[in-house]
Amino acid sequence: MLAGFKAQSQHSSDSILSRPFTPDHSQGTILSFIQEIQRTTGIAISYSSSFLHLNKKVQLHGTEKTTGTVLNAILQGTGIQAAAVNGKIFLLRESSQTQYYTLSGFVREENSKEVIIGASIYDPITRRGTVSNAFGFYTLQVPDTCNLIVFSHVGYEPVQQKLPPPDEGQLDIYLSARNFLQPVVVNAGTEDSIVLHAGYINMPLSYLSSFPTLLGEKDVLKSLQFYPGAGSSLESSSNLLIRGGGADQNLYLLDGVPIYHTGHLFGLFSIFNGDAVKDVSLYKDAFPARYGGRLSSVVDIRTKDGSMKEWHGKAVVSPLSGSAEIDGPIIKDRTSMSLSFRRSLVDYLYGNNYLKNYGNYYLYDINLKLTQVINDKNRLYLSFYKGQDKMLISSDNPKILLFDDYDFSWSNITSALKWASVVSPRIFTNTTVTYSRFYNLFTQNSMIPLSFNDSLYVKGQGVSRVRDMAINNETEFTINNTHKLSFGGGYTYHNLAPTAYSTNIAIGIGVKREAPKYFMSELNLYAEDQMSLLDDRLIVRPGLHLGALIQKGAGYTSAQPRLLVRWKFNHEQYIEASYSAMTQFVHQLTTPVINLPTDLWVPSTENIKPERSYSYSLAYGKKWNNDWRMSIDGYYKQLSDLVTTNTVLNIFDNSDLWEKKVIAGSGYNYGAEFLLEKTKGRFTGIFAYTLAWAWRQFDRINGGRRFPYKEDRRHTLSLAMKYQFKPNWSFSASWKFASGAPFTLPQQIYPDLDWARHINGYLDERYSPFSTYQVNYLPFFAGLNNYRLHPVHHLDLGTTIYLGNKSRFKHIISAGVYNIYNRPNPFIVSFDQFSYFNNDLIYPLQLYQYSLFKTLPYLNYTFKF
Amino acid sequence: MRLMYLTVLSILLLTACESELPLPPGNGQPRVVVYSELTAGQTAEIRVGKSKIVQPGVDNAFDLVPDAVVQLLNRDSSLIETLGFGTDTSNRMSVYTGKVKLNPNTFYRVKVDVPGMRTVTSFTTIPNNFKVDLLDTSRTILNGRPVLQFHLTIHAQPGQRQYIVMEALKQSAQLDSFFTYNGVRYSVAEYEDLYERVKDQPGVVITKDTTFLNDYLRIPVYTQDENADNNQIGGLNENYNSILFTQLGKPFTTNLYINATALSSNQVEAIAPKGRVLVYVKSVSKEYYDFLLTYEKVKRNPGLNSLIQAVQLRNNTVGGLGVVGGTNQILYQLYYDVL
Repeated sequence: MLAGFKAQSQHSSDSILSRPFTPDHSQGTILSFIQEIQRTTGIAISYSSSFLHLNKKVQLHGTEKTTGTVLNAILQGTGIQAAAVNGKIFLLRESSQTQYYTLSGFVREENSKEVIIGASIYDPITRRGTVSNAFGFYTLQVPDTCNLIVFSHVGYEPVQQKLPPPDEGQLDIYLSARNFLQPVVVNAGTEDSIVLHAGYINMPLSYLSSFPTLLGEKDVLKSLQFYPGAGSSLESSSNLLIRGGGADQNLYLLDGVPIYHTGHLFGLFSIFNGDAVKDVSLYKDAFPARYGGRLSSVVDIRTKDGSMKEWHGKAVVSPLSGSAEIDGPIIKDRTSMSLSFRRSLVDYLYGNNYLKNYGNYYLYDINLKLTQVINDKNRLYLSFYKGQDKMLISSDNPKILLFDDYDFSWSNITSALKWASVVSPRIFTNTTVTYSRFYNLFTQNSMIPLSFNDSLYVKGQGVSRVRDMAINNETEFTINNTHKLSFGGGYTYHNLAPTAYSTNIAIGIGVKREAPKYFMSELNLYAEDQMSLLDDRLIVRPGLHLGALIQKGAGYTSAQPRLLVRWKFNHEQYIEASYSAMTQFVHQLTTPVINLPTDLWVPSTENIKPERSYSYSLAYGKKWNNDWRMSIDGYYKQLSDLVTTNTVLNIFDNSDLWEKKVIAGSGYNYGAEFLLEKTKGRFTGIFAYTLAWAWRQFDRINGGRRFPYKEDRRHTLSLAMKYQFKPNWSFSASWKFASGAPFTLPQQIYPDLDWARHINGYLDERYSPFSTYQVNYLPFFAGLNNYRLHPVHHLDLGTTIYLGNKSRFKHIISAGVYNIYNRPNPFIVSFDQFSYFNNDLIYPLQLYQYSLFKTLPYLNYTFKF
Repeated sequence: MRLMYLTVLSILLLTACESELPLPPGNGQPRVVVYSELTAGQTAEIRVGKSKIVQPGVDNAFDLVPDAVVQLLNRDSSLIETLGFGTDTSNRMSVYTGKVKLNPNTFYRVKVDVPGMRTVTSFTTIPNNFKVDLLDTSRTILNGRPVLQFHLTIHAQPGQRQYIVMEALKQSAQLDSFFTYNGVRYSVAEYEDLYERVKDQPGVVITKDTTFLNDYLRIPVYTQDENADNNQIGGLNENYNSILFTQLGKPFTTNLYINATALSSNQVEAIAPKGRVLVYVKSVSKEYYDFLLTYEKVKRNPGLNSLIQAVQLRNNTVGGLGVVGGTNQILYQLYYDVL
């Protein structure tokens, strides 16, 4: 087109484009220069604003003296040329190419100015787009023919932004929250993003409150258990198990800070306060290269920033706990804060009766986040978390037969300082300094009888802790819409003191052993390249994570390649394959499956290698009209150098040399997952099914033969539904099912060796409530985990009523019933173990099942402003 | 801490609802159980019993096996002797004893046939004689507890591994007093009235007789030695049934601590019976050592509930259960009680 115009108007163009013209200013927008030329010379200039970014600021060199040279200068790099035709100047696009320009900025909530993670930004015609990152930042290249892009997110009204943008610079978009009475909408419009792959779950926060829960407590980790591949050790435990991996194989990040212990009240509730959380992501496979350090999954949780505009508050009260949240601007549009606090109320409300019998217990959480806007391109975030559990059991309580006073206290503290910066529209970087501490303190006052007249009074105190300090950088460089680079690295200083015990007891001739401490450095570097090929049908994301551990006497390096390949079909379908290698440098030695703080975190040492996993997955996904989505995943995970112990560790004993009790082995998990999710409308819900196997193999366990892992569950099914009867009234139901957990049941029993030889052992003094109980038999186990406990399932119903919709003050009442058909699910099953009250020499041997939860109602009241 | 775990578990169980579950139908056949320590310098003593299938109706009573044929064989399976059945009715398992004195550094086979059950065979080698120097004993305090310390040097077998086990038992004793009156010997306990009348008369001779019973108390033992294999089981401040060492061709010196509370009996307390203290230092066959290592774990934690991983006992009996171990032992007998 341009060539034709040139041929016809060669002569006149020379005269019009050579006309003398010197602009008044050397700086301005393209539009201002065009208008000045028209005004000064009287020459008409014709152009289309659809491909010309008129508000782009340009700088002249000062040497331009004609209309042609001025136009050439201001149009430089735009792919547009000036041509003179019939006394007019036409600004025409070069015939060979479509021109692109880059949009970037932050997606924020309209009222609070809080950044929105995972918002979709896309061209509604081509459906191509991107997703805002963890800091709400996005970069998108759009063709100059594009005159509209859409910004959308779960829970926010979409915004259609006309292009080109009104002015040069960042395009920050503000989305207004949907009316909270509207049905939940999940992942609408973000199908094109590679971020949303099959092994990745960005859980809608509404799931925290949409479905009925145990005692009405919002629980982030339990909500994730609705999805396929995610389960729990026990009924209603927050112990999250991903694809046959142990709870210690999950990397929990709270605002980017690793968390080592995630359970309150022995794992019945997770430490993540649902009211403080802004975004929850779970990666089950195809791990982005920036993540490392755990084998099975990444749970990335971000807390709320706080409103930049006005103060908001919220209070929730239930018969068991209370929580409060307040957020708002310290300096409007510059500094915001979000503070939330949660505490159990059992000790206050029932202290006189219940706790006298069973002991005193409380827990609390504090989440604080401060956000400072430095300028449009730079922000600082400071976040802090402390969670504490405390339990005191006195020896004089009438219900529990103890001879000692016990005080258990465990806590997590994390803090993070982040600096997020837009280096250029295509480069975004964030640097984070973090601190994480898990501290488990146990004190004991005991009286141990030594003889008739003599006793040993023991005052002991044990500590087990982990302390991390780290600095990390992550940088994203968007080359263009089809090519994006991510890279970064970090350093973590680990300080682990797994066992430290002190006592008032005179050690006498014993060897005084200092508590073992481990100081180690962990380094990581990563790079990832995300490419869209073949007209965006093929997406390839290769990545590499390099990890290294340096400790006294030990050093390990690890190259962990990652690859994701996705092929998109018509009708919103895709097939995806991925491979991830992961390495874990710190290990949890644990005996029980309940989430006790007795778990021991230990490092890789000279004798204990890092654990490694190699996972492969293949997935198919489809969406229908943004309402329904379905995915089918298959996975295979190979695990090597797994660390375990087949004895009960005494974590508060400096003499307990844990390294000598550790054995290494291998394992493999495989299975298939199915997910069907209804995401829009009055009726919403999720159906998930998982068929899985998890095996372990250790040379010195089970005769070297493989055996089912303790967390192996053949079938896991969850069904959760919510129906919005009226705008202010919803009803929900959920049903969860999991196959029985493996249990090692003796095949035979036979006479005990000491018993057969008339050797009695009541002078035992072992610190155990069962010390005087001596069985006369030994168990013969034909194989480990050869028996299955009963399946765990429960149906829960709930309803939520919203009041004060039009008022500034809103009220929410939630009520429901957990386990409505009163299913006694197995918590512990014991073969004769806890029947120690039986004093008969000969007695029948039984299986005893202990169930914690039967039908339990709940009621919550929430006040918001 | 194990205590912490158990305490928390106790609380959870107290708040939980207990229900009995039927045991699943059993599978497999009961097996013959064979226990024996073939000890150098002693005759063979082999305990034989039967296992029970875990199935509905099972209890913890075990049958005696008086009709077994128990044979001690050479390496080439030639018969050394057939052991005889002991008729002591107090035995909890049937005991078969031999007459042939066992030799150190010798391979033995054991074959047990019980009618209607699978034949059990096992073999072991009794370790060679070894030397222990008891350097010193002393009463002291270890982590607040009164203990008796044995300071020992254990010499190695050149060029081979030696598996050392140390344990302490207190064997109960029955003390009987007799008096001879008019040439007839009476028991003081049985003829107390007569004894009271005549005890001061001239010619009445009073004697005491001590009988050691087939009844033992296991005395907790301790070590502070990081080379002890008890490190694979628990902490060094804990008590154990036995202290276990794997010796790699070099002599080593160590301290064995035994709980001193039970050394002497006390009529009032009845913590420990009156008797003698037996302290064993044994060199055992590897199979027996492996069994004892896992046995120590099982005694500490039987693993019979769904929260704790079960520990499988090692054994060396083919076709049955139990262990036949070779032992060469040095015994220290201590008499703290007046017998």
